[in-house]
Amino acid sequence: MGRTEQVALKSRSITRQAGLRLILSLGLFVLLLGMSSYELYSLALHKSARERTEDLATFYRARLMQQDREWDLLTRDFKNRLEYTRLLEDRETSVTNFHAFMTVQGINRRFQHMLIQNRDGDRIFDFGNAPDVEEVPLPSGLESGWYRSGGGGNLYRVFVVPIWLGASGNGRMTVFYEIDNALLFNLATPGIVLTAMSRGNPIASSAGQAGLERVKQTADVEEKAIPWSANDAGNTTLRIDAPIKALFTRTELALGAAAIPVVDGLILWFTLGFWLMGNSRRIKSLGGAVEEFAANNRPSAALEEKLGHACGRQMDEISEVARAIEDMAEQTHRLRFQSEALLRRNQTLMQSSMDGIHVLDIQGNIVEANDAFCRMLGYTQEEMAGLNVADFDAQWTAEELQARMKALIGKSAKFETVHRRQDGSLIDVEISVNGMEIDGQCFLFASSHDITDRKHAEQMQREAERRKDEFLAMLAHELRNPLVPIRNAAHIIGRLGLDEPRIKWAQELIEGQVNHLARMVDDLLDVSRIARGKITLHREEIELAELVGQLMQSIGPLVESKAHQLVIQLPEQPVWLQGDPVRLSQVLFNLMDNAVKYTPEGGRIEFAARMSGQEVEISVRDNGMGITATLLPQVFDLFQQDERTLERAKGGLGIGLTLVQRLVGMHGGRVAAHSEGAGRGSIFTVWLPAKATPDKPAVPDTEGKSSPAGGMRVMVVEDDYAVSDSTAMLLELEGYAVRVADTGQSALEQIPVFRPQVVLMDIGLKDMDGFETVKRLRELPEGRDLCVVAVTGYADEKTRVLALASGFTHFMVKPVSFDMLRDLLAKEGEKEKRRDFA
Amino acid sequence: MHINFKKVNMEIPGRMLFAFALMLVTPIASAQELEKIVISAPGPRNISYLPVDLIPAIGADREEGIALKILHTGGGAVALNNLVTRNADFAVAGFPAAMSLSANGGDVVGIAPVDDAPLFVLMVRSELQGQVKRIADLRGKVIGVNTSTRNSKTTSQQLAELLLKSDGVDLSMVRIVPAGQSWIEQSSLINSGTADAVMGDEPFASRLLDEGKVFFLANLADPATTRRIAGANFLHATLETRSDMIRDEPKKVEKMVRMMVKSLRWIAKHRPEDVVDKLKVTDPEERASLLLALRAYPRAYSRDGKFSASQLKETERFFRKTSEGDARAQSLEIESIIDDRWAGRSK
Repeated sequence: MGRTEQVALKSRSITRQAGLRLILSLGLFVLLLGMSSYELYSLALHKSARERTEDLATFYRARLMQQDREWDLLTRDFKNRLEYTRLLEDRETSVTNFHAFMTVQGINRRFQHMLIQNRDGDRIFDFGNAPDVEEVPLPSGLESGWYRSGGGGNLYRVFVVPIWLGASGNGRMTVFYEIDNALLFNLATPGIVLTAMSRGNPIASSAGQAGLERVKQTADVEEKAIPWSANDAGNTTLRIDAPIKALFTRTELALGAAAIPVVDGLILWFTLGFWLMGNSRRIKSLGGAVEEFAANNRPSAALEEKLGHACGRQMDEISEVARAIEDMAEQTHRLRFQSEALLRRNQTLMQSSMDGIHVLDIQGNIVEANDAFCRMLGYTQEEMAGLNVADFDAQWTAEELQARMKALIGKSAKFETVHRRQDGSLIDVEISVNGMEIDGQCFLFASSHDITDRKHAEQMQREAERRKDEFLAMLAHELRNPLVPIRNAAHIIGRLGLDEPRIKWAQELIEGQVNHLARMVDDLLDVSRIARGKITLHREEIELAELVGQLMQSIGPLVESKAHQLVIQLPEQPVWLQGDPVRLSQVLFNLMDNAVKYTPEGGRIEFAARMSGQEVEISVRDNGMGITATLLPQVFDLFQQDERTLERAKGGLGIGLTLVQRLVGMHGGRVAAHSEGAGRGSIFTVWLPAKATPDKPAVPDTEGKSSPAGGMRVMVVEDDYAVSDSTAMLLELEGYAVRVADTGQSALEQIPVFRPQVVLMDIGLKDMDGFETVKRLRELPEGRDLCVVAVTGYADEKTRVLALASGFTHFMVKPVSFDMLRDLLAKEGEKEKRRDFA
Repeated sequence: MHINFKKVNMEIPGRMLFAFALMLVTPIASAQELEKIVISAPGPRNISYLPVDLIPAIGADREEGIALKILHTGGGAVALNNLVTRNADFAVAGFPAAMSLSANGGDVVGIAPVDDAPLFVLMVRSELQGQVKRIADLRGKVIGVNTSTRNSKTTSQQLAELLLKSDGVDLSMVRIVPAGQSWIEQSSLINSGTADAVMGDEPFASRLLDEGKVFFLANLADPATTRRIAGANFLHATLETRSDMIRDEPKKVEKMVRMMVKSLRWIAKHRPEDVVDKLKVTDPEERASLLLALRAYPRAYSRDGKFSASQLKETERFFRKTSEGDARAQSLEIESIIDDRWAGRSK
């Protein structure tokens, strides 16, 4: 879902909520307003109705007075008419004539009943339809009153007037006007119901029988009772029932009823309208503020003024939004200022950087580059803007660059490559790249550093190293080569069995010094190789006792030469080490050699070994010169020796202990030196990983250690005649059939004829080196399975690996120990025998 | 195994329930009050309106649960006025008079016929027998006619004017005085000489004739007279009420019609003597005149209480004739003021 859609959803949701709340609030408001308006309208309506009923009452009071006046006038008029006829003066007058007069006068429509009495109250004439009229209980002197016939019958308004009866004087004429429905019907105005009440009882109603039977008034009828006449003490009243519908015209009611929603609507309109107008103006100000902010992107007086209008005087959502905009404006301004400052700093940094900083898009096009990068590649800024990385990268193809750039998205990397400058020259560069996505687009931010000089220096250094290595190898080779004939010569002298003790002494002295010189050369080369990490351990399981045995063979003569007392303590159980036997032997030898050298003659040297957990602890203790406290911390440092060594009395290069420490470390062990001080002896302790049992069962060495040569044929290939001749002589003394070749080609020619069983071949030959010679030899049928031993003064690992890869069977370093050579020849002789036997 | 079934006697509870129900119903019935109906009609004992007097006499009102109060008036106009002014719920008056009232804005509706024939007599004082031979001879005479208000005319008035016009007597050539419709009023006018002629009602006309006080100049029961008068067999006395009564109290109207029909049927089934007896007329002369009239006009009353379509047509014809020159009266349709849903209608 897109951001717009989310915003839209959120907006709808808020609108719906606001709408629902508004509807509920408005509904409640309208309901309450309607109810209160209706109540107010009802109150007003009833108040107006009461007022109008009061007006009606006033009107009916007048009408009743008028009616009384009419009745009074009618009574007096009829009295006059009667007196005019003089019918009453003659008592003998025919009743028929009287009735005829009354008929013609329409009397039965004027009043209900008429009674004429003389002054004594005797009835003279009784005419009418009210048969229940008896004595009229009017006090004398009253002209009008009320009469109600017996048994709660009809109610009459009665008027009494004196009437001339002739000779008997004045009598009185009493006229009865009935208060009946018709009277009230004629009195009543449309819609109004009049009811005549006598002592609270309804007598007649303008609504007829239905009006009399009505029990209870409804709320929509206003009721008002007025006294009919002043002289009746309120016994007879006229009740006015005025329905609201009759009090008001339909138009008035419609206007009144319509006024409710109109007034409500006006209230709503004014309430909501003013509120909405106010808020509308505030929202408009809010919009203006946003426009102002969008235009200037910083706080301004106009923005502040608009936000002030939007805030208004109340705390609500609009004011909150206004404040938020104000905060946002300030924050944006601050951020913009900071961003601009940061941008300027970054641009300054970028432009002032010595490194070539450039930005690439994902297609490899240059987006931006600093001056240093332009200078680095020899382009101007404008030219650089149109370049692609494939235009100046000389190491990878365009496809490779695309793949690498895609792989760098979201990552950082540092690598070296080659760039091509505008002039076509190449420079080595080291590039740090960060690939990142900004607003959906991928960019690579690269910092290029010209490393051409560094690369050149490295190349030079590597060359120097190579030359040094070559020199050292050559040095070792050249140093070892003279040792071979010396050692061979000494050995020959020994083999010749001369009894002269001094010759024997001289022979042993030569052999010893040759060995010492060879070890110094080895140590010197080893230190160099270790320092460069060029020594590889050839690990195998080896029993400690075997190592100690070999050690004793090599160190024994030295110990004896100084008449030291050697004490050896080994564990009863075998101790197996996982390591390079040559290097471990070297470690033990150097420790023992050190003890021998720095212990005065007749000293005591203890060699002890014991298991300690998963390690074997090997210590070499002497009671020799000891080590000063000052020297002790640097005792394992290269070329470090005690001051006395300056005398060169003890010899050595000061590299033996350094080799011990490095080789022990390579085996996962450690070494420590301890001394109580000068003249108090020293203890060197080595801890090496060890086991009580071997991983692979030991295979008993069934091969003969040094069986007689038995006519075994050995070819010596050596261009140094001193070496070849002494070696050949020594081997012949041991019973071997020896042939010498001084070149590779000579060897290749003689081998098919001589058919040697072992070839001892120097690598540095004159015509072709040993590697080439052995390769060609392996191509010969006679040389395919032949044991060819490389015997060289180049003791480095590289030469050894190369020799074995070229076809040599064994690799031995000059000067070769004759015992080792004899063992090797013996083993090869045994193999040859087994092959022949098979 | 033997099981004894006990029989439950249901009679005692049944009786008890009946007695209890009776006990409940009795006070309710006794508490019921008779419904009051007021009817106004000329009289008493005007022959045209005798069925009204007879209703309480024969107990037809109580049979309907009604206490009928009769407001007797001197004429049909007053009776109609009582109806219109709510003094009465019903009125019995001449239907042409009711039509005249209706044409002048009065709320009146005919709901049942009472008379079958109009019983009017134009009678003249015996002293004038030598001078007045025919209607035209009434020029310059005083004529008593039951009159109404200025805006409407009674049936007598309409009939008198029609008779006068039929013989070429202009109304300005005679003096009309109110006559009323009671014996006292009509007889006093004749006997006192106040009027020379009176448009009289029965049985007063026959009684005066019998006494030798008058002679009949025109009698609607006489075919010779009716031949000269258009619509002479019009519907006279009719039970009338207001439209608000029909709307608001139709049950009352129904009961009133039913009471009237009972009275008419009672008269149809009984002799004139029974009618007079039932009315308890004690005055011998009055009794004699009533019997005389009842015997003289055997078809005075409607026998079934149904409106006659032909009679209604006659009535309309009569009214049109008597109200010439009155646009509102001429436009009045008789059917618009007839509601026959209770009385019914015959040919």
